[in-house]
Amino acid sequence: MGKNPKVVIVGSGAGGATTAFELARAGIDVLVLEEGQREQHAHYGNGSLEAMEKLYRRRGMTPILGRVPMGYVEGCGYGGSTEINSGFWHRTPREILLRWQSHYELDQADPEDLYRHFEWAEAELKVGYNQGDLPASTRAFKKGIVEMGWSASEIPRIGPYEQGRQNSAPANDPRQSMSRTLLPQAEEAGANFMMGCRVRLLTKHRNRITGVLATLKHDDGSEELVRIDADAVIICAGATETPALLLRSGIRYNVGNSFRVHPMLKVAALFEDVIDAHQDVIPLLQVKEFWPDISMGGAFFSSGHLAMLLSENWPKNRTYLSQYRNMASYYVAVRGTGKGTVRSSRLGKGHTFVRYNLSDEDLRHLSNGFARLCLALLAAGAKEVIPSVYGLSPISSELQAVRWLDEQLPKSALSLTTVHAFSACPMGERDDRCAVNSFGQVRGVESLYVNDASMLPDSPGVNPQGTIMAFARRNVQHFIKEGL
Amino acid sequence: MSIRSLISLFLGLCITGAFLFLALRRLDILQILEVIRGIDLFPWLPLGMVSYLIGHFIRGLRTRMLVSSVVDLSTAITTQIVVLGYAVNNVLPARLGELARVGMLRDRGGVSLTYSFTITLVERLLDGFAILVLLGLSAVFLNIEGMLIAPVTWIAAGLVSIALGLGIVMLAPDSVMVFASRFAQFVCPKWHDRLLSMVTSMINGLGYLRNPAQLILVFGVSLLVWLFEAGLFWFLFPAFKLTMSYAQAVMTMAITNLGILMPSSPGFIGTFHFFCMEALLLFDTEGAVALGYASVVHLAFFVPITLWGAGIVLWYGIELGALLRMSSRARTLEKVADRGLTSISQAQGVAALPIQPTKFYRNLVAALIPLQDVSADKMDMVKNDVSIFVYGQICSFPQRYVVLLNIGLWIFRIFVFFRTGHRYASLTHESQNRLVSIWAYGKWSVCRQLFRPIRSIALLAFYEHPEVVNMFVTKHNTGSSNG
Repeated sequence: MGKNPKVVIVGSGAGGATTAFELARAGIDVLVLEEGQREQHAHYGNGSLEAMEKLYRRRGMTPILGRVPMGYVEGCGYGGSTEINSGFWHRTPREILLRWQSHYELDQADPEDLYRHFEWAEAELKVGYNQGDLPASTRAFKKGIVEMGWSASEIPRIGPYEQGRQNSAPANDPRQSMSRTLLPQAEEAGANFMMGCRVRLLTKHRNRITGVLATLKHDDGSEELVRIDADAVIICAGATETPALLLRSGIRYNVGNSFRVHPMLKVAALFEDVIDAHQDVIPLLQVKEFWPDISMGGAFFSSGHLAMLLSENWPKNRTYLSQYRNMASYYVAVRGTGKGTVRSSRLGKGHTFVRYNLSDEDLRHLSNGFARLCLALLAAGAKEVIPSVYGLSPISSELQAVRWLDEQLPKSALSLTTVHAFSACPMGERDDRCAVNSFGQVRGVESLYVNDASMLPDSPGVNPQGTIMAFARRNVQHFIKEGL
Repeated sequence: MSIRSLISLFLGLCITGAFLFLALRRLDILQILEVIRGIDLFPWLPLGMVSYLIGHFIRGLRTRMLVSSVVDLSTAITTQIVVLGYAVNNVLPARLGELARVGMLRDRGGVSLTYSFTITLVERLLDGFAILVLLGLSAVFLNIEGMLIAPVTWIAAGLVSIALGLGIVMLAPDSVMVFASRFAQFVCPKWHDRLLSMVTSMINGLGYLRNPAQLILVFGVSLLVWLFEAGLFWFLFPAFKLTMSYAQAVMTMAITNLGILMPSSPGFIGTFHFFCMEALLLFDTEGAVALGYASVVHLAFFVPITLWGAGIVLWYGIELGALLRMSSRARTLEKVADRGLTSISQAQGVAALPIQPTKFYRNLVAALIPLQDVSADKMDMVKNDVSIFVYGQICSFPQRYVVLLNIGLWIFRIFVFFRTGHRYASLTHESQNRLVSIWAYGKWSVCRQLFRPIRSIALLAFYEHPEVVNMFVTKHNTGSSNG
């Protein structure tokens, strides 16, 4: 490529990959700038620590400060967070879409408008259901849900690995992430990729974005500041880095003030029988009974992650580790209603500061959800449910669990995490709420678009990858149709 | 020789003449000759010169520290760069030695001109502050104020202004880059890339000082440089039968070096003598003795460095071919242009060294993980690997959080000291465990929040370590299936 690209895409996650795929297939000259590296999938099989160092932003955990600090896990590299997520697939719930149309005046966001995009993504990613027997941790969970009489469903997942393709994945990893699906196809269609390229700033001439300034990291450790000119820039850098880049570049209108997450509280359940959850995929069921405010499901399990969960009360809890074969992890997640902010530091070198204030409603839902999760697990035959809450003893009876239906868990004792973040640049037609229009164009500037999780108006209440990809495709097709 | 150089030389000679006149006007030549005849140079002059030359090696070490984030140069090379600068100042006017230093740093380090200028400016700034601090301390110690206040205030104001500007660049590099980009785009888009290139080179030049510990360290090294230079002044007092203290030597050194900041002739002839004399006159030294002393100190200051610098120039000339090869390491615009990019600036990075936690962090992490569960022959390896992982994770947090965390850990160390009377590192493993547990799992929420990221990551890393996983599998898979 010896000339300026027509479109620069910042980021190669769910939004960036979809954008690159569609633009390249439309014959548009595209350059994708990815901050991370193109890591081999073999890293997934080499243990959590190596994966964290190579595939995650900040080597594993982004701190989110606030009334209750929490850890946010985000991918960084070719394929973004799709390389590290659970692979669960949801379409955006109808009521959420209606809410977005009502509260944010989001145009052309009826379920009917989006079906074809969901169907396309599901075909590309081979979304489907588990074909074999349910793993032991899922069977246990299912037993509890049935005992409680709740509605639950097996969650479809991004599909199993297709034999015969290049860049083979370990046999036990069925994930069809962006690096195995859309990104190679985008490259085949002519998209160019530049790895190790961190965008520092958008360049502007008057009110028009003309390109980016980026730091390119070379193999010998040297860095180069480069300017890349383009006719349009589409930012898909993720829920925290997209608003940070906009703010650094002086674009502030409704940017970074409405950050949302799905706060998650994890528990470990101890069963009579051997579960060997560390050898299985994460539990495949999610409880829908209390959705969209509360959802429950299974979490990733390994000895290290179990230790992390038990660490809140480590002196008392450490003995559980010897029984790890009889244990599995589960979570309760809530559709966050609190407000958070994303800011780019004025001091230092490009640090992004994220805050989220857990609302009273979030806390109530977490307490409620925790109580119900304990009930379900006890009904499933768990001897004890150990929460990641400081000072809270393991729950071994239903009476101990139901207490939390009425009381609230102590805020300062909670250890929360989240893997879903969005909404820092909400889309829609409302001037007072939205940073981008209904198709991702940034307000007040020309030739600049956002097309990732940060554009979702608020919490979708479900795993967001499907929503991101459907809206990203819709937006890109609108962009192609309308031109620059 | 260009007209500019001629003017510069002429001005320098005028200033030299003026200050020499001021130095000599009230003195009797016979008295001066008598002083010279009575000088007893041995062993004082050799001792003074050793002290002065050690100061130059420390300067070289400081330069090495300052450029270490971008290029790996040996202390020998950086000392050569420093000495060359001083030597050229001795033979060329208007502090042209600074430019020689810049040029040699660029050539030997393969760094940009702006980066080299920034490093040289930072060194001069550090020197200025170090001299001012030493002047102030010696003035307090000797109870001398009065006439020094006004000139010191002006010099300090100038240094502080420059330091504030560099401080902003150092502490807010991204904001400065954003400002520069927007400013250039608004005022003159054609200059955008060039301005950004200068700004980023300056940002890279200040990279080493962004770490507060490194900033304090390099300032401490700067103080050491000038303390050794004061050694030259102190060792020569007995040669003139002057019974003066080290503090008086420091003050004499400081006044002399602040005085030669002004442009003058090569070697600071005239200005050096005048200010050195004036410093000694503060201590009621006779004029002839003061002039004799100033002349000998100046020769000790001038001759060895000039000879050393001449040697470097010869050597530098011989190595020209090697230097050219080093310079070609830098990427060229041509290589980048064919990718549709415009290169603005380049910074050579030193190969990333593995992150090495401090001993305190290692002990802290060891207190948080059940090392006793690991076999004795694997314990050190597991402890080392876990510490490195934890430290790497912590260092990846935004700098503000790292600073807060480190402040919290310092408070913990102070708590430990007051509680036990000992430093944390000197306690037994059991005591360390107990104290860490009080904070990490105790009733104070703020202490638990402080330790939460460290203990969570430590336990994750420990139980994901291949040796620990193997131990787990072996131990628990051979047990009862009901645990």
